[in-house]
Amino acid sequence: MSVSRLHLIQMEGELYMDYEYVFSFNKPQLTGNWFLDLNPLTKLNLVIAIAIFSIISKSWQVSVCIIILYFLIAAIAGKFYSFAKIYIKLGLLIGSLLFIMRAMFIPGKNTLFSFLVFNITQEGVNQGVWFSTLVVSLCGSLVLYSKVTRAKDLMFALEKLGAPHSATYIILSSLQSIIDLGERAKLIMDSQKARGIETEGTIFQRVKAFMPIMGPLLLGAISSTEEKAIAMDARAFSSPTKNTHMSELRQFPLWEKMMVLLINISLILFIIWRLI
Amino acid sequence: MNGIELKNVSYKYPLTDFFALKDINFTFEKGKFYGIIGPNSGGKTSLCNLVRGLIPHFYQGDLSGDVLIEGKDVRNWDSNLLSTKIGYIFQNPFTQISGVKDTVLEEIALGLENLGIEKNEMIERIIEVVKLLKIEDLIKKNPNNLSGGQRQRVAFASIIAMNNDILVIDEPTSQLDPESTSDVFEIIDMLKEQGKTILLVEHKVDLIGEYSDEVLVMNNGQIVDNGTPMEVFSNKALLELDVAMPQVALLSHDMNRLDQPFEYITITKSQAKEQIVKRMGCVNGSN
Amino acid sequence: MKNNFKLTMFLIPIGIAVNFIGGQIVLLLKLPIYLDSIGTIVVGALCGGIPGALVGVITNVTISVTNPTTLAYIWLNILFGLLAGFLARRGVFKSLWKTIVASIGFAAIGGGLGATITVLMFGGLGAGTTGMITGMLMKVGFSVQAGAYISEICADLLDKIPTLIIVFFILKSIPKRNLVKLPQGELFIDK
Repeated sequence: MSVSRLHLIQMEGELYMDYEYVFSFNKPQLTGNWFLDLNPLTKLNLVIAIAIFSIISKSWQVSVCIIILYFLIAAIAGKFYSFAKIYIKLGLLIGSLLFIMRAMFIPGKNTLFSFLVFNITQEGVNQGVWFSTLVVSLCGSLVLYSKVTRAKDLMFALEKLGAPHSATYIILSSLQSIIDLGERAKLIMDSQKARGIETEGTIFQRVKAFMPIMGPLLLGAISSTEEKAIAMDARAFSSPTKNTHMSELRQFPLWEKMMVLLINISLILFIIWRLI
Repeated sequence: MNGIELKNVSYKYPLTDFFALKDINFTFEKGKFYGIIGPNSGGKTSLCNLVRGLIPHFYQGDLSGDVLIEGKDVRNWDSNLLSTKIGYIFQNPFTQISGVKDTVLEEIALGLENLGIEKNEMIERIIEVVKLLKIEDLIKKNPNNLSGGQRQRVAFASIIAMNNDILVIDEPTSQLDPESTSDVFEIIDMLKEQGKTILLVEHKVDLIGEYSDEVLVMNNGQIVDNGTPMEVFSNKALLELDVAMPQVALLSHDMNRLDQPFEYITITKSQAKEQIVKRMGCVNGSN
Repeated sequence: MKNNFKLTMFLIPIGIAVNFIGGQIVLLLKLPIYLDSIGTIVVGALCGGIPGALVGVITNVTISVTNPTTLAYIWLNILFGLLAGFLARRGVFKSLWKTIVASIGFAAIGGGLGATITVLMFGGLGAGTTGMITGMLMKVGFSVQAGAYISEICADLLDKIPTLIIVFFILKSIPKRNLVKLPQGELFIDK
């Protein structure tokens, strides 16, 4: 029966069921963006290759080009704003910190200028520029990857390669637990403040505030872990049968396989050329 | 032998001195709806844990006596197989949501994925339970952002989609409004009609009186009474024990005390209505 | 035995989340320490060295997304987990003074091995305040290596002693009914 017919026989008084959405799970769910629809492992491969490339090049110009490349890729994938928002903040923070430290403290022969006890040397600046751009570019590869890949897609790809069900569960559950525990921590902090626990003030006061927050948080989490284990057991979590999947990824198209091959071969050639 | 037999079962949780369950002798027959009531800490949840096989596999502790599930001793059952045979729904809505799926639809599918069900059948079953629990408007939402009542309905749907033969249900309606609560009871009744064995622990005794085939009363780890709802709620001794009873049964007991008894202890609203109408008729002198 | 593993698998995400939240709470309280290994050590003590190390590894990798230099220090997280499992079996976490002594051991690893990694991979100047302190020490005349060791070991002592004290009190407060189901939980039940 086609989806539209099912809409028609929706009975009066029944809530609206989005059959289209439900049946969309019959095929892999594609976003329509060629880059986003690449297999998560392909994207991982790409991102790691770029990272290795920037490490081996040892030149700040390459790192900067790569940083620009990330913005380009983010735009192609349609994730420019969410990527840029985080990456710019992070990049400036880490980049400037690392640069300043090297510029200020690395000794060298060519002093550019000095103030107070600090001696800024050319060597320091060079080191600073190289190291900070390198780290910022590495950071970019990871941030970009997290923006263009959904955790559940990556987990599916890993399971297809043979990763055990429990491993992917642990990773996905950690991500959610971080959010849940964070919210609980806020609640506990507010309720402890209402009880008079000081969170501002002298350092001793602040230190004393830590335990009344962390204690109930961790103990509460440990006791609900038992129930969680029982609940997951009830969902046949440890059932020996082979899993099926509701949400799947598409099969590797030929052009994607070629692309992966191309990237890896170029990388290997580049490494060899560099080493000669 | 289909069903669950308990013979001389006693149990202590690890590192405790008192019996959580004492001298339990009972047989749960296949295809019946059992309501389990009693004061808190009376052993109802421990009984659930036992039937479900969590005692002794998960909780360990001292278990004596025989617990036969479909003829085989629970100690000899593989605990993983037991979990696919017996469905379990409990009170806390927050721990029953897996946290690893980001839509309600996939959350319900989780159990089915683990059972290795084919996708077509998965979709069919999901549509069915979504309609039953009236959660059509929730299927795209993230289960981690739902209210307690919504989570309870999703957890309920997730377990019944798995189509187990035996269901152990521990207070599934604590966060639900009256309408959703009676929906849930209707669904449980429907599941019984399909031949499933149901053990339901509940405080909402009015609904237990209305729907269950047999009632078990637990206190201090022992079964203090069992029988049809009519038999159990007619038992005056239970009033002493502070066991909750349906309103209409309490009414009947009160009428007894006033020496104006009904013909029998009423346990459903329609029975009470009938009896009251009859009584009013006598008082007015008509008929 | 199977059940012990079952519970461990569900405790690992909690350990990871606690590491994260611990780090965030100290930022909110504006305390100059990390406190991001509480989860690693608690899980290591309760479930064994390998689960503890796993908590450390996953925490480290997740933090590295926003700060890739963290990845170099993954060995520290692994060792903290393994050490916690080992020390728990030796009964170290049952007495407060033994725990405090152990915390110095943790700090020695964190600071000593950490500084070694900083020197080898980053020329001695790490990211963050320890880098600043190292720089200052260099001005005063210390070599970059000495500076790195001094600043990182001191920072780690300041961090690990409170961490281990918190771990001690938490382990003490876990209810018996939870402990019996954990692989190394029996060690913490007072008979």
